[in-house]
Amino acid sequence: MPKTLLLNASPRENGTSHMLCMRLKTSLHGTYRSLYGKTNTPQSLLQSIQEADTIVLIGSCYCNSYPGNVTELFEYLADYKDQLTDKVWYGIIHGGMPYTHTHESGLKHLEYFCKCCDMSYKGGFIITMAPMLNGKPLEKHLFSKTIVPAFEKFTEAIKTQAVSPDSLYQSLEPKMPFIITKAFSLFLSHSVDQSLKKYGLNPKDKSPYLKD
Amino acid sequence: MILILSDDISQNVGHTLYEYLKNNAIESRYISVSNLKISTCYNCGYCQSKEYRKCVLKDDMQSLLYEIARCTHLILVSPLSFGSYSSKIKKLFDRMAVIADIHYYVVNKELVKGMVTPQKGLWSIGVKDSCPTEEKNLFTHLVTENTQIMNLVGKGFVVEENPNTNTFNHIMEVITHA
Repeated sequence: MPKTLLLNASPRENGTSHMLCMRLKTSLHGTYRSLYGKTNTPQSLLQSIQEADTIVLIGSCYCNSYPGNVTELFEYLADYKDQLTDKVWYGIIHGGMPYTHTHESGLKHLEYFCKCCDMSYKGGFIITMAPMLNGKPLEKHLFSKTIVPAFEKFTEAIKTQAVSPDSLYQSLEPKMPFIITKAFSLFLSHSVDQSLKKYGLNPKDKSPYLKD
Repeated sequence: MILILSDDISQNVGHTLYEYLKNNAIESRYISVSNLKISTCYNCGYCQSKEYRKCVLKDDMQSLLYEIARCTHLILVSPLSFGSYSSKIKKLFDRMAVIADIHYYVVNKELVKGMVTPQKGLWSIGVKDSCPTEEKNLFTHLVTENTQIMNLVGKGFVVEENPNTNTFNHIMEVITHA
């Protein structure tokens, strides 16, 4: 099996990205690194990437893509692309919205980075409505019956550096008729307000950045 | 008021655009972010648990958030980085989540968020000479996704490092008619 590096692009300890990294670490006998923390400098990450055959980048969706630290890593690695040409990359991105299109730009960013640096991008996986997991196993997802088998297929592709088609994650997108979407928006907004009140915060307060 | 935030580490388009707006008596403000300390969002949850919608990180983003909160149109100017914003602009953008509305709305039958500030428009200018069509499409598509999810008007543009006046005329026409 190729040597696999799991790269955690999320700053949260014990979050969903970390859970997915640990799951893949077990399945793929991989090595784990995080983009965060003082010891995880771009130089040390470069060394880990150089030692791996396959790299799986796992992160949460920030503004429709991976967080800025991922772009910073790409910008750094581009200067060493001559030393990385045989690497194979996969990407996993997860977020709250129930749509693949709101997350897909992250995978496209990774794919284009690989193209520019003569590396291979072999596929990605999107997990929508991920905050419900909050670090819990994938089996706790509302749509685990479809997500888990698909994720196992994705894992199998990584094992052999095979291409994983976009259709694998696209087929997981939940169907949301308007009435369900509307109900969901009300439920989520209510949950957000309840959470704020639990911490003694008022959801009707003005943003502190609007106050003089 | 138009606020231009520009990562001008390798391009001057942001400042040139600001000069263009001044010459056309359009109220605007320009801030170069290249040398500002903008940390990444650590998803610590402080803004939703300790102090309502206030970021705990003490860096230059704090003053930028006050500026962004008061603008009507935000223009981000960034060198293109693999079809996306530069890492500096992306980190800045990620930190803007603290002034995004954390509630959910439905627009065009899809869930969207919004802003808790009066901001109406988000316009992003990617700068790259001889930009391949694939990269241009990636960037403009990303900006479309950004504006949709934030329920803002907006568009992405890709320009050369030395755009002519016609380019700025076109961009301002689009913004003015949004």
